Amino acid sequence: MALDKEIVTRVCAQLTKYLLERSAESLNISITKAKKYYEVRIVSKVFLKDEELNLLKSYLNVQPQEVGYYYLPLIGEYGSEEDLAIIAMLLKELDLNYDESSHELVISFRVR
Amino acid sequence: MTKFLDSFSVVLKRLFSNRERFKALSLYFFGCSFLAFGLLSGGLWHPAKLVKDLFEIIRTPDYLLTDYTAVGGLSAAFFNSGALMLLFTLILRLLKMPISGLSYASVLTVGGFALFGKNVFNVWPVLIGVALYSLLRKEPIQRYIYVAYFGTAISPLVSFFAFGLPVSSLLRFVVSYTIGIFVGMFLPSMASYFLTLHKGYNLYNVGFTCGLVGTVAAAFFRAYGVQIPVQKIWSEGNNLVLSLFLLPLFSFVIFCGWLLNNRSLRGYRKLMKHSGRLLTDFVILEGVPLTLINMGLLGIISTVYVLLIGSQLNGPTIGGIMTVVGFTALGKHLRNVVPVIAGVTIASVSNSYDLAGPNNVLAALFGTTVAPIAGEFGAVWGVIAGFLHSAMVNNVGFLHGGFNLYNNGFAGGLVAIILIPIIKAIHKREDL
Repeated sequence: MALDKEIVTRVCAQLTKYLLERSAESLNISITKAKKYYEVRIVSKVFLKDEELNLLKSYLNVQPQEVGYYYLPLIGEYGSEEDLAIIAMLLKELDLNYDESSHELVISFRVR
Repeated sequence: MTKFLDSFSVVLKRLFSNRERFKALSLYFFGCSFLAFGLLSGGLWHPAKLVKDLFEIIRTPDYLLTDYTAVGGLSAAFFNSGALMLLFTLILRLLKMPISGLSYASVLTVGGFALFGKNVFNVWPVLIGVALYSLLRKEPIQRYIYVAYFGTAISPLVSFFAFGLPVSSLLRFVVSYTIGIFVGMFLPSMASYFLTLHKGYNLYNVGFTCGLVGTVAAAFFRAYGVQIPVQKIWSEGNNLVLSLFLLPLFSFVIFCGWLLNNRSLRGYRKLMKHSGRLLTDFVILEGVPLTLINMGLLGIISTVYVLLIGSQLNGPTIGGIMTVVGFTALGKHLRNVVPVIAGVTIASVSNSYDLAGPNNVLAALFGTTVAPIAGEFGAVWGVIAGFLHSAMVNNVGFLHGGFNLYNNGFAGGLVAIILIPIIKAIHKREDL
């Protein structure tokens, strides 16, 4: 599998795992193939406490780093929650919005 | 006193305002401390002897267990360690790598093992091999630099060829470096693959990889009649002077972390909630101040443990302490380390080895590679993992003939592979 496809698959799996563990009621993943990259948008109805939301933000607030590629096999199937920080190393234009009233979480990003 | 505290705090916070520079400085600090200790313990006044002792360190076969403080004396051993830490930090800076928990773990581990196996001669082929691998794959070296750093665990193989082959000097060096480069070229792919075997529950993943590489090398040697002698060079009698170096060093690290954390330990409990499983980067997740507190705290605990059980502070044990300290930036903390040490200690008082002897004390320090098991499944499983590790580590060294310096990483990987399915069966967890 080409690296970008593997990253998209693993990143979506890891985020899905994280959200389902927090009892997400629904989760939709939209992946769009652009010319040189994949654009991903995850929309989930999930109740996140302030503490959980801040933790998720801190996990994803990591600057891109090459070393993330080396740890790629851990992401998804095997990954622990902390591996969300590795995910952020592999993505760009990551955006996270949480509507506290409707409990809707929207995460969008591009694969580097 | 309060005035001094305030002004030191201001200086520290000014340095801290540029986070990247501060993190690099803190890494340089460890290298400089070891280098300074090496020079002040004799090398500065007897430079010719220092060079002679360094050459002795380079020339001596490095496979386990070779205590450089016995081979070349305290001065040369610490000079070697400090120099390598400084050089490896410099390489990270030249490559413009962001300093993270991985940087602390890798540089401090190299520094620790530079007291018993890695030296300024034998570490480079692995680095060159990894660089060639990334060049051939047209990928940036930054992607694999930490594999290269940890991969220097296999350096004794380079020394074995460089000083053990019955051929001319030039040919020996060419062969040794070629083999080191060859091994380095395959390490990134292998290490990445093996991550999935223990699923991140063994922190010294490259140690597990190098264990398998060393096993293959030793198997070939033995198949062709080359004997790998058992070696145990272990120094004694330096507890006082080394305690006087290590305990203030770690106290200073805690002090700096405490000052930067607004003179409090706030957040440390939260840090301990992490399981520590790969890749729990505390520098990224919890910040530098708490990471420094964690480093100093476990440094002191490890040092005191060695002294309490009546063992020796020397190259291998300080190597163990430095590895614990390095990995406190990458997953280890009080809650997941103590159960493992307890498990090894229980095994130590009941097994056939001396409690204070190298087998047990090194198993306790390096055995914390399986700390994530305690972090994820609780203290009881941590104790069991430590107990199992103690038996395993004393049995796997033969396989790689001591060529893999991270013997505990190899054993820890096997412990995780064996224990995780058992825990999975008992806990009825399908997500492991």
